[in-house]
Order: sequence, then C-alpha cells, then structure tokens
Amino acid sequence: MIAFAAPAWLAALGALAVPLAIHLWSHRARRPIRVGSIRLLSGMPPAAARALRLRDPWLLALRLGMLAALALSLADPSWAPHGPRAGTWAFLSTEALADRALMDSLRAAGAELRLLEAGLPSLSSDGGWQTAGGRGGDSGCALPSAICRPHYWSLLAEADWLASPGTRFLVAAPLVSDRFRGSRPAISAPVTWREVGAAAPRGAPPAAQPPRRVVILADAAHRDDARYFEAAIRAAAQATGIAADVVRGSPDDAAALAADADWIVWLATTAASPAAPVGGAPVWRDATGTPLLSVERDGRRVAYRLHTRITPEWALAPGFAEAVAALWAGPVRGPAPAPARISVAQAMPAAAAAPLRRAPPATAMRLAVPLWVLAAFALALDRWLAWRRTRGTS
Amino acid sequence: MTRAAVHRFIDPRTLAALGDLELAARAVVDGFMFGIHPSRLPGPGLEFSQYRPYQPGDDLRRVDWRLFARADRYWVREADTATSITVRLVLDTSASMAQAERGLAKLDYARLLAAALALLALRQGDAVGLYALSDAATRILPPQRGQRHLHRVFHLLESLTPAGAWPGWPRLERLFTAGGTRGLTLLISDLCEREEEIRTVAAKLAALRHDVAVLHVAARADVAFDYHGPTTFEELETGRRLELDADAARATYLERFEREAAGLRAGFAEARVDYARFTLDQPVDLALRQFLARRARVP
Repeated sequence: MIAFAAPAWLAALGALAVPLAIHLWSHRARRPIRVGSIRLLSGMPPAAARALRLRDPWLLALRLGMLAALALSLADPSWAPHGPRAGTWAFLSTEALADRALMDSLRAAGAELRLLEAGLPSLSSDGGWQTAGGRGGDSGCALPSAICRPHYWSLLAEADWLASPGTRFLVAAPLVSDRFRGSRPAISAPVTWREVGAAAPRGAPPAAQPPRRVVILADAAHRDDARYFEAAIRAAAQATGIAADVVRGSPDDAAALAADADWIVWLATTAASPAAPVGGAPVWRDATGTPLLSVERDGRRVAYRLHTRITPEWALAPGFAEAVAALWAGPVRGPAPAPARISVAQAMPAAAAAPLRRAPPATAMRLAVPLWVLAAFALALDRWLAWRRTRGTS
Repeated sequence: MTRAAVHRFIDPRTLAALGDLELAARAVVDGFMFGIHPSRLPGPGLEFSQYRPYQPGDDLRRVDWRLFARADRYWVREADTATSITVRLVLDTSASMAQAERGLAKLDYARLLAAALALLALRQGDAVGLYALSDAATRILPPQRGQRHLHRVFHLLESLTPAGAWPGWPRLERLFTAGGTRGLTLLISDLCEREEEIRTVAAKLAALRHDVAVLHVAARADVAFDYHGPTTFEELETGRRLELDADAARATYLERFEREAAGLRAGFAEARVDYARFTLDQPVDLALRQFLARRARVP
C-alpha cells in the first residue's frame, strides 16, 4: 500500500496539464519550414484534422511521466508491503507492568502493547521489550532519574507521529502530576486513560487535620499579589491535604477579620498591625542571594516578611506554587510528599485533526529517491531524443 | 586516390564554417586528377599524346630523334595542346537559395562549388567569369585570367546574399551574347522555378553553342521529404504558406518529384545540357569529383 507523508503535494500533479497544453497548442503555432518552392506540394489535402491529434505520444508520455515522478516525489510516498494496521496501541507505564491481568486482557483485545518510556518499546508476550524506532530504550539516560523520567505528553505526541491513521491509544499509567510537563500536545488519535496504582499518595496528612483559616489583607495596589498568593495557597491546600479557608479583605478590616485567623497575609505598603520582623533568617532567596522572604520565630508565632512584590512572572514561573506549598505544609519530616494526583480530564491531550506530517512506518520503503532518479532518467532520455531530432532535421 | 581519401570528403558545413573561401576551395580541389574540361586539340605541348609518322611539312623540331636512332624512321612526337577556354560560372542568388538544412544554406553550398570550380579553371589557365544573378541584384565579373582575378571572384562569392527571383532570359540575353567568346558555362542553381525560366536560360545558352552544365543544388529534404506530422511550408521567394500533413503528403510529393526530375533530365538531354544533382549532405569534393569524372569520360 502506498502512503503519502505530504499528500498536499499531490496537487502538484496539476502541473501535468502544462506539457499537455503545450503539446496540443504548439501544433497550431509551429514555425513554418522555409523551402525554396512549394510548387510540388500544391493541391494536396490540407492538414485539417490535426488540431487535437497527439503527435509523438511516446515523447509526450515521457515528459508527463517525468513531471508526475517529480510531483509524486514531493508528496514523499512510501510503500509498505502489508500496510500499517490501524489497531489499538496500549501504553503501559512501568507501574502497570505488575498488573498481569491487565496486560493479558489488553492482549486478548488485540492491542499492541508498548512501554510508556522513551523510545516506546514494544512489549513482547514474554514480558521483555524491544525499542520500536531503533533508538535506545530507557537505559540510555545518564542523567538523574528526575530529569529522565518520561513525560507522558511528549511520549504520546511521539506515538501519534509514529502511529498510522485511525490508531486508538489506551494509556495505563498513574495519573500523577510530575509525569505531565510542558505544554498540552494536540493528538489526533483518541486516548483512553486507565489509571494504575491509584492508591492514596504516600505521606498524605491524616484527615484529622482541621482546616486553616487564612486572612489575606491587601490594599488596592496589591490586589494582584493577593490573587496570586490566594491561588498558590489553594493549590497548596489541595496538594497537601490541609484544607484552607481563605478570606480576602483590605488592611482596614484587619481588626474584624484577623481575630481567629491561623494565617494572616499582609500585602500592603503600610505597616502590618502585628509588627513584622525587620531582619530574620532568610527562607527564599533570589539568584543573587538576596533574601526574598525571611522568618522570625517568637514562641508559637511565626512572622514572615516578604521583601518583594509578587509579580506575574514570578507567580506563574515554576517553583512559586511549590515554595508556597512548602510554607503551607511547614517543615516536613520523613520522605517528600508524593506528587499530586491529577484528574483524567487534566491528563487528556488536546484533540487534533491530524498531525502535520506522519512518520512512515519503519518497514515502509521510501519512494522519493527512486522517483527522483526516475525523473532524472526521463529528463536525460528526453534531452537525448530532442538532440537526436534536431540533428536529424535542420 | 588512397592517400587523398584520407583527408577527402569534408563535411560541407565545416568548409562553409571555415570563413575563408579560398582555403575551402583549395581543400576541395587539392589532389584532383581531373581538370574542368579536357583539352583535345593535338599539337605541341607538354602532355604526351601519341607518335605519328613524319609527313613533309611537319616542323623538324618535333621529330623525335632518339626514336629515329632506334627505329631508323621519322616519328613526330605529338602532344595535347594546352587549350584555354572561357569558363562562366552562373550562380542563382534568388531568395530560394536561402533554404538551409542543418545550418548550411543552398547558397553556401553553391558558393563552395563555384569557388572550387573557379580555382580548378584558373589552374588550367582558363578565363573565369562570375555571374551572380537574381532580379534583385545582378553582379558580374567578366571572364579574365590570373590569380588576382581569382581573388576578385572569391571576394564577390563571399559577399553574395540571396534575394529576389531568377531574372528572365530577355534580361540575360545581352550578357551572354555580347562577349562573343563561347566556352563552358556552369549554371549553379536550386532549379526552383515558377515556370521553366532557369531551364529556358540553360537551353538558350546551349543553343548559342555554349557548353552548358547545370549543377542542381538540392536539399536532402527536397529529395527525401523527411518531414513529419502537420507542417507549415513557406515559400522563400513568394512568402506563400501551405499547411499540410507531411506524412500524408509524402507519397504524392515523392512521386511528383521523381516525375519532375525525370522531366528535367529529359529536357536537358534534349537541349544537350549536362546535368548533375548535388544534395546538401554530400561532401562538396566527393560530389564534384564524381561530376568531373563523368564529364571526363563523356566528352
């Protein structure tokens, strides 16, 4: 079966009309042959029915073939003897490999099993795997595992490029936030998620922890800062499991709101009513070492002082929400908290009509180069015939 | 002949591209064994012809005394007298002579023929005259001998361009009757006539007791009609156009051409005019050699 990687170039086949038009038209506008006398030719039947007659059909076919080969080579065709099967590709994360029952059921359903790791290696029935694209598997990464850890979105985008049209994706992987980085890709294949290892994240705080009451007091100039900080607090509350009850207000409402607050966030140019420390130990630093947030402990009361504004660039950059979450959770003992679980809707890539280009299947034979050779040969043959013709007649 | 055959038969296009007509003419006639005409008057001369018995009245200087010493008889040594005649080269420069084939025009070929013949004639000591004729321009070099005249002939030949049509006999009559000296007249033309005006001139000259030969310069395509498909033909002298399917017309054309050629030969034979056809793809020297050899055999 012939597949075209860039089928839009097939429109170039329209160029075939050009030599055809020249061929039919040039018969009318042929240069006359100048001869000494046409006395012997007088009275012969004129060439009446010549207008649409093909002359030199083989030469015309040669030229049309040459153009067709060029146009087809632009469309980058490839020949796959069997044709790629449009079935289901099931991607299993390493966690899902433990689930034999799942793998067996997927195999029984006729899905092609692949490991959701770099290179998307195929899983054979005995549990081993080989890489699909000839690239190295997961062993090739020399960097720390945190960096090399596969990001599902980029893997799915790669799979979409490799898969033939009509393939469906089934992903069996844990839905945790640290596996999804970068921008949400647009993928043409329909994706179904099956969550694996959906157990409660380790290190989750006991549910007994009561919700904290947070009062954010910001003046008009710090309204955006307050918005960013509130969003960060809410995210931290979701991530850590310590619920937050956030109230916004202006510094004037301090007396009314701050009475039973666990956290008071004072974002204003005027001095806070409970005096904040001037010095204190730095908690956050910027790249030059200048403290951005410092802390001073006084018994049960902990006072932080923010030395900067919360700009949109900072608030939206990676790290801000995590830093606020670290503040929110307080000093953690034991292992770091597990990444947050995300919903299927959050994990789902965007739907695209079709990828811009598709990779030809690995077994397919690329036909572009043979077509170029064919076109070059046809051109040489054409030139040779033309040369012979001009040599033959004056 | 074998030595000559090595460098003989040069493509006429090469000669025409040479640009130097004298050199081209020398290349053509170099090594020719034939003169332009045989010399048949017996008498004193260099070329031995025969011995004949002495008769009273013969010049005693012509008696071969060595033969007398051997045979004890008087034999007179006889030679062909080197006769010189007037050679007139009549060149058709009408517009139809511009018909070209593979870059070589009929006039180019005619030029080469005329130059080679002029060189041959002057080597024999003949007077050569050149008559380049068309009704647009008539250019004439009256017959004369000598190397300097040969250069004038070459110069005029080089400057010829095809234009106009063949002038009728009334305009030419005075040219060929006024001189009085008859001789060899070589008419080089493509014989593209409206009526029979060129044939008429040849016949009239023959009737004036000129020794006339017509050198017919034809294109390969005139003879073989190797055109294909729908073709537009344009007549050079009149500009008339004719569109026809060459493949369909070929058989009829070739039949008409053969009939025409047969008529030409018959007409020239009747008028005692020598006729030879040269096609543009023939090497000039080969064709000229064959022509002169035939003339040498048939006096």
